[in-house]
Amino acid sequence: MKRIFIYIVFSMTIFISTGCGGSDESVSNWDVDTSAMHPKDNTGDWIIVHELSDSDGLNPYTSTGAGGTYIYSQNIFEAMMIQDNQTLEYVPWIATDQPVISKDKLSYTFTIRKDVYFSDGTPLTGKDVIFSLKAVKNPFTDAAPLRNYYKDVSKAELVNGDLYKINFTCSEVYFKHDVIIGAGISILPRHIYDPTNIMSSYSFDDLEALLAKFTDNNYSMEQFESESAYQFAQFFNSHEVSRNPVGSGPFIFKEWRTDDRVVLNRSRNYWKSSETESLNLVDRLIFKTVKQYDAALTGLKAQEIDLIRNLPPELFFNQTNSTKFNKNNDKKSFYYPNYSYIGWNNEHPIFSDKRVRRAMTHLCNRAKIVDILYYGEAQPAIGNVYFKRPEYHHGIKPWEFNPEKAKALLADAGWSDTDGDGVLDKVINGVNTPFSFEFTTNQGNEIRKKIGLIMVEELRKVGVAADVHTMEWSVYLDNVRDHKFDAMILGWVIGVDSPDPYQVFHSSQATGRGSNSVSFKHERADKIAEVNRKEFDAEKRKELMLEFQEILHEEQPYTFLVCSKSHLVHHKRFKGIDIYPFRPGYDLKEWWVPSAIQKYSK
Amino acid sequence: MLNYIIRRILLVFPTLFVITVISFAISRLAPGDPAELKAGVGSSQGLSTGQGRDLNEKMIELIRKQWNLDKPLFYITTIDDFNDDHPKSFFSRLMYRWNGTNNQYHIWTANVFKLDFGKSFRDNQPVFDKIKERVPITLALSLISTLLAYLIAIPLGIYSAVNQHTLWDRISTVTVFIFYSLPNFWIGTMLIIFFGGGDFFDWFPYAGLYSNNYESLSTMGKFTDLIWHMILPITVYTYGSFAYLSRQMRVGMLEIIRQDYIRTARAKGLTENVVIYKHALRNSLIPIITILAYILPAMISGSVIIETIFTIPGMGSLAFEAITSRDYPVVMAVFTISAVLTLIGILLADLLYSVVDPRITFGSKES
Repeated sequence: MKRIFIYIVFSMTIFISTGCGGSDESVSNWDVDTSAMHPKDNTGDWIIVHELSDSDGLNPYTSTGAGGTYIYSQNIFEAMMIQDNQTLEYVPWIATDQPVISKDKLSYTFTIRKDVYFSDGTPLTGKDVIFSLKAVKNPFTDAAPLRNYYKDVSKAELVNGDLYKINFTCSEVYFKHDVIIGAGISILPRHIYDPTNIMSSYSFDDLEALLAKFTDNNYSMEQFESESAYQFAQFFNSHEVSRNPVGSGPFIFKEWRTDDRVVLNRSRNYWKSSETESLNLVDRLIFKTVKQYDAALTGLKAQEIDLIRNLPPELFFNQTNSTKFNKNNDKKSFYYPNYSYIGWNNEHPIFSDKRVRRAMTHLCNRAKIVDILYYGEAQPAIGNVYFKRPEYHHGIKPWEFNPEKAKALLADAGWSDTDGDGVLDKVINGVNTPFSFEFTTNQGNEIRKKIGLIMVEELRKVGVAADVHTMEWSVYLDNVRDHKFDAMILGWVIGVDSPDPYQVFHSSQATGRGSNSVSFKHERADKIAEVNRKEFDAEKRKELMLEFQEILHEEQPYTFLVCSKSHLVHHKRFKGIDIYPFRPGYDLKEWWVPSAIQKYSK
Repeated sequence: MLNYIIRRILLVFPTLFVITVISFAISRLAPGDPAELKAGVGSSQGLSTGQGRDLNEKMIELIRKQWNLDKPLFYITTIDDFNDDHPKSFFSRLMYRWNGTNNQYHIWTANVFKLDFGKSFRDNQPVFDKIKERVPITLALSLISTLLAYLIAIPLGIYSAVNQHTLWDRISTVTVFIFYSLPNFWIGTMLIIFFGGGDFFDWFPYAGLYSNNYESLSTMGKFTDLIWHMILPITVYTYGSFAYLSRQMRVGMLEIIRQDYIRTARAKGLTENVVIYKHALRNSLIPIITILAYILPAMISGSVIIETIFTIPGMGSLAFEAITSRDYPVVMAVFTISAVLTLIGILLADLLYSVVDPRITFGSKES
């Protein structure tokens, strides 16, 4: 129904917009010569940012929705380290320097700045950092997914009672621990999130013991109600706390109206303001919820919305060409670390043979997919590494679209049409099995569904009967994690930092509902994934990852499809905009508006 | 009559019990797991140190425990005790295990009696507060649009009936049916694109209920701002119901004006206006009034499509999002409230029958 509706909307609007567009003068009022201006002298104005749904909360540990992250991360809450927008490396932010790592790679010591203040004026100290880690480690807080990441960070303590020097102890060697600790822990003010200081009476060992007890099935939830860590969690998880965030960042939370907007105001005495020319310049950020891209784009054209990120390609390429649009707005596209793929269930009797998987890849017309579904704006993917990373294997050419080769591979694997019904078959475990299967994907993602349809068409030509089946997201997720699929079409958003294939491709993750849903099991790949985690030398990790990509290319557990672009549109009055190769693609702290053309005032 | 009302009210409780049990079962047994969605697994690769085989499994289990989802669903659990060697009959094969009161349904019901619908899985906000926040918005929209629909459709229906088979009758019939057949999601999007200030006319806001500068407006300004934002959604809410209402009215009216007493009224020499508006209208309103009573549950349930297209924080979008994210406490609260309102609506409708039409009585005949 939705698809039909989008078509009708398009055909109507295209029809009409070609008929009566262009009545506006095409001169833009927003092109101002900024060469002689200093951003610092032009503070003010608001940025109205589009959000597709209301956030589920602004607590960095208990809110899991992605929407909230863009609101609070770096705007309200900060961490000891930050990813540099240009070099993509992690650099000190609240920390004074990179952490000191012990010889056994198990201990990390961070020194933090003494001039950092929360927005209420309280100084930020190591106690707040330790409290933040404890909040994650407390088994009763709603931070379960994060707790998983911090499983191996077992302890944090002040070094000799120095409030600005913190030592973290890890139980396992892992090259990403500096990032997990440094950039992952959003620092919360302890005096606000734990006003009665409950958590200081718990050591990290106590929390570990509590977790063990909690995991034990002999204990039920009720037995923990008298525990003060439980009572702390009740407060910490509460709606009120996640709706009133306080941090050290350049913006201060002002207001939240459900399903409508979240308002942040500029912090007047942000600790880092004095250091640079171009930081924290607009007076207000409004995150405005509009649940439909068509409406949001109309809002942008009406100059009521200033920024839409992640605009669907069909809108980006078809609906942003009017003179009125281009008079007031700019469009930008950028690659971000992601790839889409077709996952073959490696335990499926048909797809357990790598020749069959490779034949499938030979039947995948990536050029057509990029052309039709991505408007030419996507890059073929060959493996699990983002193509802008140094670890990316430039020597691998994606398996080309070649039905003849596919046929040969299938014949080689024993598939032929013995009963003359037009569908290939093969005797597997004594049963004559026809080559027919189903692609599954989630409802509402038209691109994925169409990828499936394009595949079905090519497969039909070589005698493979396939079908596309869509299901609701939560049901789909259930099926994927239970390995209940033949082939699935999905995507990963990956990190822009050093790749670690363990979670997705290690054989241990194929059980217990881990992320290796396709059950890829390869001895050498397992070994590489394990060694890679403990390797601190970036050059050596690069070698390992190159080999890993070769294995993936050879084995084809997935048919890697494309790395796509993200599209954003914004109002022209903003200056100082840089686009970065990861989501969301911009840094609002840097945006400013020349005083003469500012739109909103306080 | 009083007897009847008491009996009907008493009947509400077992009905409600059955409804809640069924909706509880449907919501819990539907595939999809809220704990899994909460864990966010499958959405990003992120910084994972997943090293144990069962890490994800364990994590999801803990979330389930926190939400009481590890407890049995109902007072009894059936165990299919099937044994090929000793085939038993269907009934003796089914074994029951008594779970006592420590089950999800009991906990939920016990809390509902205290008017506590629990906390939303999504953001830990008490469900009652969530609903309280949204009911006024949905109610305002549906009240205004129902009022408008009746104000326009009833005169239209009367007019068509009185002037049956004229050009006007045909035009209005065709027009309302065209409206009726246009899907509201399409009309909604079209209205936004053409009148929301995009490439065409900047007459109305594109979405939402408040302008960017809402808080700096005066009280009067806030009010007009709100009305201005409501015009497009109300239009979409209303236009579709013209056809149904005006046709109901037309049919009712046509039936009445052929009655003998109308002919008598005309023969008496009454003016046409008095005949139609005094004698015919009252009687032909009966079906319309009963529809009105059924509207009660619809009043607060809102419309998913309209609320999503216009980003209006109402009950419809709340229910829809709760269902897609398997937010059981919210789903159950919405189900229960609409069940109660439907039951009240039906009761009211039945009572109204006897009020407007003296021929219908519910009391036992006096002997």
